Formats: sequence, C-alpha cells, structure tokens
Amino acid sequence: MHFVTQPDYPQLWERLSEECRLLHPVCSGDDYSMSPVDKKTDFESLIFNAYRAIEPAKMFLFPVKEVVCGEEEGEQPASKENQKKTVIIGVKACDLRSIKVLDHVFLSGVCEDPFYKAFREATVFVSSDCSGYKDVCFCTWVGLNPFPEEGFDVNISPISGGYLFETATDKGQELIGKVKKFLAEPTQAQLDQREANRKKTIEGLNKQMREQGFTPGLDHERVIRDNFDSEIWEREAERCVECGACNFTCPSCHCFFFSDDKQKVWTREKNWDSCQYKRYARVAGGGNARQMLAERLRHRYICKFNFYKDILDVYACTGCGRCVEACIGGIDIRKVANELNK
Amino acid sequence: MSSINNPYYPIRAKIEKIITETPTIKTFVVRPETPITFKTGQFVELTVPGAGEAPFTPSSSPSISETMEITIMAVGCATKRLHAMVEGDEVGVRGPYGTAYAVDELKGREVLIVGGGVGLAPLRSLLLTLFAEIEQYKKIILRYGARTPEDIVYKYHIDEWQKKEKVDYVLTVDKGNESWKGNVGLVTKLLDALRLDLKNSKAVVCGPPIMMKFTTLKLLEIGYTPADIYLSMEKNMSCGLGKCGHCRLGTYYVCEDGPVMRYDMIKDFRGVWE
Repeated sequence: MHFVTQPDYPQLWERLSEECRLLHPVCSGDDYSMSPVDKKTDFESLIFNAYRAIEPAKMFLFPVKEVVCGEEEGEQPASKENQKKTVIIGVKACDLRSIKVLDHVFLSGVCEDPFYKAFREATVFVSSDCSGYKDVCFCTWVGLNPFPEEGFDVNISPISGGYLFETATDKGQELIGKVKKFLAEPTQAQLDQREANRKKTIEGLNKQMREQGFTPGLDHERVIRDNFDSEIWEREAERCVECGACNFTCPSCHCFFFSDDKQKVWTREKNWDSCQYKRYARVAGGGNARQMLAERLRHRYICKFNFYKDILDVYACTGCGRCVEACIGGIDIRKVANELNK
Repeated sequence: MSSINNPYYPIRAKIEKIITETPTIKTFVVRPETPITFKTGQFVELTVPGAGEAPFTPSSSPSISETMEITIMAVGCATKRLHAMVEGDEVGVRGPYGTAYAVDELKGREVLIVGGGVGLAPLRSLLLTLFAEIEQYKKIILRYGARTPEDIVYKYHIDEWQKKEKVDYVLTVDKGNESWKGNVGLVTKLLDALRLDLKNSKAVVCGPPIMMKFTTLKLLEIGYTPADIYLSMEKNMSCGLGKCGHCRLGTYYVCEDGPVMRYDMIKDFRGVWE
C-alpha cells in the first residue's frame, strides 16, 4: 500500500502518460466518461470519479465491432490498438466483476479469443473505491461491495489529502514502479480512514436502496428461478422496444454475431449482439427458441442470475444500473426482481 | 495470425462434387485445404462466401478426413446461396465443434436410430461408423420418415442398407404418391411395432424439432429412460466455441455441450423443442 498526495496525483499520471495510453474519467454533466489523457491534457484538472463511468469497461476489451478475418487468406488484420498497453483508471468494482465474466467467456472453454486476449494482456486496470453512488446503483444488492476486492492491478482509495494505492498484481507493481518518487508509506490512520470511508459508502448506498424500496438480502437466484411462469415478464415486455440498450450498456453482456462482407467475401466482423432481438435465437428453418419478447426479456434475467450463478458462481448482473438508465421503456431490473419476489 | 490461432478463420475448401438428393436437399462433397478430422456427430461451421456461416453436421464417415460430405437443405439465405454454387467453387470450414455420438456406449447393444427429413444426414455419418464395426453391435434398427417419397434422402443407400446383415431399415412418408408402395404415416407410428430388448438398447434421434419431440415422447412411452435417448439439438450455433451466446439451452451451450445431448441432460429445461 502506498500513499500519493493530492498535488502529486496529476503529476503521477502525467509521468505515466509518457509511456502508456491512459484512459481516465472526465466529467460529463453529472456523469463520468472514460477519455484518453495524454500530453495535451490539463492534468491538474483530472478529477477522482465518485462512481462508475457511463461506458462499460468491456468496450475497451471487446469493441462494438471488430474485424476478425481479413481479406487475404490467413491474415489477421493487425489491430495496433489492441496490442498497445492501456491503463484504464477509475474502473469500479461493478465493472471488474464484469471482466471476470468476460474472462470466463473469452479466455476459457474450447479456445481463447485471441482478439480479446490481446486487449486483456495489454490492459492494466487501475480501479478505485466508490466515494459516492448514483441513484441507480445497487451493487450491494447483488453480492458486491462498492470498492474493488478482486480483479484489479492497482486500486485507488481516496482519503483526506490524497490517495492510497494498493497493488495486487505484477502488472500493477510494474506500473507503480515507474512512479516511485510519488509514493510514500501510508500511516495506520490513513489505512483506518480507508476502511471508514468504505463503510460509509456501503451504509449510504444501502440506505438509499432501502428508501427506494430495495431491501437487502433478496435472493435473486431463487426469485428468478421460481418465477419462470410469472405474468410479470409479459407485463414488463409491453414496455420493451427491443432496442438492445440494456445489453449494450451492460458491462457483462458479451454476445456477438458475425457479419461477413458481401463484397470482400472472406472478411468477417464480430459485432455486439442483443438477446432481445427477435432474430437472436432464430434458425434458418424458422425455429426460434425465444419467439416472444417476454421470453427474451426473461432470458436476460435467467442469464444474469441463474446461468452465470450455475457456471461461475457469480451473478452476471453487477448492480451498475446502466440498463436502468438506458431503458427508454423504463424497465428497471431492480423493480422487476422486487415484483417477482412479491 | 493464421487460422491455426484465429478460431474465427475458416479453412478454405473446394466443392468437389454436388449430389442432388431431393428438390431442396443437396450433398456437397468438399475438400478442405487442410484435412479436417472429426468424430461422428460433431458439427462444422460452413462459410458460404459473401452470405455468412451456418452449422452442419457432416454426413460422411469420420474415417475420411481429406474430404467431407455435408447434406444441406436450402432454407435460409446461406443455404440458398450454397445451393446455387457449382463444383469447383470455394467454401470455408471451421471446426469440428461440440460433442460426438457416444459410439462406445452403443457397443454391444441394440441401437435404434430414428431420423426425420434431412436429419438423416448426421445419422448417416453415425451409421457409416457403426457399419464399419458392425460385429460390435447386436442390431441396428433404422427408422426414417420423410414428407413425401420425393423428399427421401440417400435413396441410393436404401437397398444396400436394407440388405445389410444385422440392419433393419424401414422407411415411411407422411404423404405418398401413386408409385409409392411403402409405409405412409409419421415415423413415430413405425416405433409401435418394434420388438426391443429395452434393457440393452439405446436410441438416437435426429430430425426437425417437432419430430424429435414426438419421437422422444414415444420412446419414453415404449420404455426407454431419458438417459438412453441421444438427441441432436438444433439451435443457432454461430461461433461454435461457446462464446457468442446464441445457442444457449438451459445451462448449456449447444455448440459446446451438444449438438448430441442425452435427453436426461435437458429434459427439465423449458423450451427444449422450440
């Protein structure tokens, strides 16, 4: 654990920006957006993000669209971007959980996805504790804490007068090793403050959730499993316009489809897909495992709370609340779970 | 990055021969640039250049890896385009993927194989595998149903297979015509008359979902246990690698845990037959 003073914080990133590509949250209204910071950046203006950014972290490892087969035989289009060392700063516990899901999908099983792997290996996650929360946040409801406990290379905790930097991996050690001159030994009081801050955020978030009607301790796995035939799926689906925003903003949704170029015929793209689209499960003969919209909506919840619980022992819902914000029909994953539990 | 470490890149394959099976079904004999070895029941992703990819289980014997036969019905945009292709044209093949028929489980037993329509294609690969070691099996009972006499695939095998020792092959059509002298009715009807040694028998089914559903129900009624029934599940297997998400069935991906699945694995899932 290291302590970095408030004035040194921007200087530390300025120094690291000389060697790596850095993404740091910048203010965007009441939100934060992940932006590249480089020598043109006013480092003094870098702010600590109190909660997660608008963008799910997946988009830096699993692009919206990506050419995976080139025109020439055997050619993999050399994607320079995905080989370049990138430090993503200010990732929160919710997004780190999603990376665990993505790692499972793309790095295990039949084979690895070499494209994801290249991004993953080139990425250093510098996560941070949440010092606040959005009105849609509910990580503590789905088994997480609003501070990273796993999956980070370096984690930052804001305390008075500066930040505590905790390194967890060799990658993190290597990164921090480059800026030793900004690092000091933390005092016990500073370490205690980190714990106190964390407790305060949990309490605040839980209080907000209770006021919103989301009582701690809901067993999402059971609630979803036991309510396959509930009429609530139909009712909620009435407001779904099949835009796929819930999938695209979700940090752990990872489904994709291939599209082959009609002219450059051996060129293939991997694109984000949405399980809410009717054609998602359709086969050429006309069969469709989830013909009805309500079935597709339910499928998403089953995937998040049952499927990944079964195969990875975590929920694939991280409580980030992005789908709640994104849904133009006002479908709220928290309220759906609550309704099903009634 | 070559196709060896890029799992999304297909091996190019030349269409060596096209056999017209029925007005809507053709068998394509393809020769991949690099031989592809597979186990019977596994599937491949076939790229139709400019039209996309679709999953198919080869219908040829896995003992041959230089060429592969794939029997395909023209139903969607890739398969229609494929049907318009000619000998000498190039396609792409990725794979093989998924589970194979549990041939070892069938050894020493009576094997009931029930096919429907183009679903006889994967079963042909299984049959060729079983025929190669016919002494290992007690009996092979094949029941096949097609819509009309015209829709029967592998007509050129009928005589040959019916004459084989230990093989009992009976066909039926849903709707006959003037020249059809054989059985008329659904394939499930053929199962009623079977005399089976149930304790020593396994069933393998492949066909359209509706046919698999009613065949499975019939087999259970006859007395097969769910663990004795092997099904070839059809879902939208798109990447073949358990990543893209499309072929989810309960807690399984059909591309990884299937396409051959024992009925007891999936019987409790909802929407299995859709």
